[in-house]
Amino acid sequence: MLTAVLGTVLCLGAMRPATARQAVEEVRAQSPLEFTLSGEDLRKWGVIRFGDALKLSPFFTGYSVDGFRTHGSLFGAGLAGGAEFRVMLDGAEVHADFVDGLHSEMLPVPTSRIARMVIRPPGPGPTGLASSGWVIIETISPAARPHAVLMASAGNEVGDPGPLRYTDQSTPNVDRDGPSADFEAVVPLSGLLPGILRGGQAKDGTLHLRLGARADQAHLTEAGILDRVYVLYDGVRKPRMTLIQPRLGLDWIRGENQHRVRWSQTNLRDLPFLEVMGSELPISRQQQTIQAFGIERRRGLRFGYSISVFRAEMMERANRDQLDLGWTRTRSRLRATVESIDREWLVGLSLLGQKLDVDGFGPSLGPVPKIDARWDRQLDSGIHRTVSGQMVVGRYPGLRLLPGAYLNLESNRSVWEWSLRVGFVAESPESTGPEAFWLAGGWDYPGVGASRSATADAASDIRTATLDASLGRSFGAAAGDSDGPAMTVHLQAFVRGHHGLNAPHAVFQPDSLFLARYLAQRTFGEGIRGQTFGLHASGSQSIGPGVVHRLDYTITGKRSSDDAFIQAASFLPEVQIRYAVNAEPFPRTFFGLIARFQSETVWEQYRLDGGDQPVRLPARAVVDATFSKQFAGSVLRIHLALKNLTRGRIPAHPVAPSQDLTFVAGIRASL
Amino acid sequence: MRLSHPVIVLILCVLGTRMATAQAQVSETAYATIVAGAGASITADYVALDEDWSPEAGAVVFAATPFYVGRLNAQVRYQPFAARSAVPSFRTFAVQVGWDRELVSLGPLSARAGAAIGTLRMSFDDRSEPGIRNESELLLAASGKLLIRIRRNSGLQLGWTRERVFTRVPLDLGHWSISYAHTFRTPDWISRIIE
Repeated sequence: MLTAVLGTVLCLGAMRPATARQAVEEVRAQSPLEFTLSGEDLRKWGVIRFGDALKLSPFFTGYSVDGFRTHGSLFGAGLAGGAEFRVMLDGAEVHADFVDGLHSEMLPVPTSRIARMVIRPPGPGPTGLASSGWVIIETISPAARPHAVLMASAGNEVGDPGPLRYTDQSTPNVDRDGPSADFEAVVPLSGLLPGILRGGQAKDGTLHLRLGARADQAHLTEAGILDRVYVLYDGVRKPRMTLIQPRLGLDWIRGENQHRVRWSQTNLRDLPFLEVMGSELPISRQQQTIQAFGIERRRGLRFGYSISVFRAEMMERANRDQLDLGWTRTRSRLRATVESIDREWLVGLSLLGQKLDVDGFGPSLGPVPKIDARWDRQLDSGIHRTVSGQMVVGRYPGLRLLPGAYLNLESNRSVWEWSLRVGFVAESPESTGPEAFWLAGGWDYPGVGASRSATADAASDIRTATLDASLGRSFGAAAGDSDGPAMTVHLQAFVRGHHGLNAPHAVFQPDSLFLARYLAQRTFGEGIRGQTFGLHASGSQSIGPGVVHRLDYTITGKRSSDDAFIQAASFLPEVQIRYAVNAEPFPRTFFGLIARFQSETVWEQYRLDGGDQPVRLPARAVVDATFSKQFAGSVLRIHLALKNLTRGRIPAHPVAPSQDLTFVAGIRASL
Repeated sequence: MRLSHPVIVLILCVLGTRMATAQAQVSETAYATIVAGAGASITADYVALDEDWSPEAGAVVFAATPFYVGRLNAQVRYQPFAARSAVPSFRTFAVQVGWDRELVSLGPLSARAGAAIGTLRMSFDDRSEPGIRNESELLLAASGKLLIRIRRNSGLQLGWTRERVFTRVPLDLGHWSISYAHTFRTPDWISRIIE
């Protein structure tokens, strides 16, 4: 199969040019300090799940245990027990945090309308400093006429029994992928509601209504998972997760002045794997988001505001053992910013509050104020310097200041370029909400089917220091030569120092008494510290207009004397190699291929059945390929994808399903 | 003959090489015509199934249009399998999209070869409760076609297809077909859609 892949790559490489300038621009735009996925990239791959979009980036390392929650690290930052990466949508931060962290697929992200998605390393971002990086998403701007987009896809993993199910060669059915769908319609209201638009400032602006919805399914039928959930599901042998997400919004835009209101509710039913319980659980999660945010330009300044309420609840799943985790959190965020017109400086003030309805949780949490500032300057030498800082007043467990500061230097884009980003940030457990925070506060979680073995005395402030330094060189057309191939190469070094990680030392041991469910013994220590560090080399080249390929090679190390830290970083492999080819050899016809290799990972917290040996997941190589074709201009697009062409059935996590070759077909209609 | 992965690889690479060398003569008539046809098919090779099922006569419909290199095609094949033992009969619908190119043309004869990807939907006559009624699985196919031109725009097409269905125990199926094929100029409204 590898031969086939190489053959395909060679064939693609030999194809004739179609979009020369695009290919050169794509190569020239490569930057070591951020990775940009265009909406077109996502559509070529037919991406509907946010987690799948992350996996298109060479700077994301992660896994999905249950098909819906993608957990991982951006640019080598973000470990279990620390803060998760932050997500911005159209200028406002969105959350979908539960007791076990960010649930990526519950974010109200309309993947069908993403214009671009920028992934950044730790450091400054639109709403302050983040220790685990940023994902900044912009959706397609509303047009003057009504516009609707529907994306749908469905996949099937190979290996079903077929007609042989009726013979002695019968085997169980295997997982399906989806069906998944995302829909969003944007309707201008200017003509429909003239009364509103006649008065006030709105007469020069445009008002748009957004209506959207997402529906998705994931089927988990791997034998190991079925064994674990069998007793929970009253004999139901093929559990599936179901996600439903209606969305509603209003966008009022007048030039640079923009005001938006967004609402969404995400329901996810069944089967999340909760480490705190050591098993999948038959529960439902619900996340409601209400936001109002905008920017107004006045008196030579740009004023920004956002008011957000996020309500996350873990609920009973009807008729499934009536398991109630008793956990509901309502977070509210107020933010106001003042920025200079030339974007040279910005000052932001935020107030973060939360109301908890968590069984047994004792501490009362007051609002947390935060001030952040950014100062940009283009120096005479051509270097772009950014100084950023923030100060948070932590309230739990006691009153204290949590500072953060970053310095960012970037040379101007030329044949040679370099950058340096260095700084630190301290975050309080009440804002990051790690598992230890809930346990230390007295969360009275039910221990159905498992011994109550997770306890924590306290949750620490998380202090993270990071350094990113890069050097890049452009060749050929990317360096300004008029014609010929374009190429850029970058070498990046990174260091992440963590102190106070709220990560437990845990042991997950399969227990035959509970039908191979995992029992957890978890001990949260204090002052967990350690470092991750690494080198990332990448090269991107246009090998003929319309064809771009890119190679990324990452080496990651980790150093700590705390077992809990090593466990928290267990998903980070020492070596990762990624090779991607994008080819558009003919009009509106796209071929893509991504090959990923990662070295062995050792999961100290997961033990093999009946032994003390940790689970070792061998090195694995995964090759995904896609083909997409547009029809009727850009109205219709079909895509076909083959995931895991090499059929290397090695899971990315000890309790995750392993995926065989999967065939996915999808359609995008844009009207 | 079992069509192993290396053989498929070889075919793909040979076709790819030909595709690459043909770049200089990129067709300007992409999507200009459509070949549509329908016919009968039989399954001649079905080793993994031959103990319990026997194939019956099937039907095939297809359409193809010139691409910048070679030709894009789509095909649907209906093929029933009758039970020979105490198992349910089942019907298959193979939906494929693919690419092929002309290998040789001699007078009224032209031969083409190509590859396709698709899904095989199997509908079982399973009345048990709870029972599985349908299942779909990935298939890859290599094909050869011989077109015998009868008139300017029509002809008979003899087709051979070798399919691998990626069930747990892979099914390697060989089909023969004979079809009537008609070529017509692509209507403008279809051109606007597929271009």
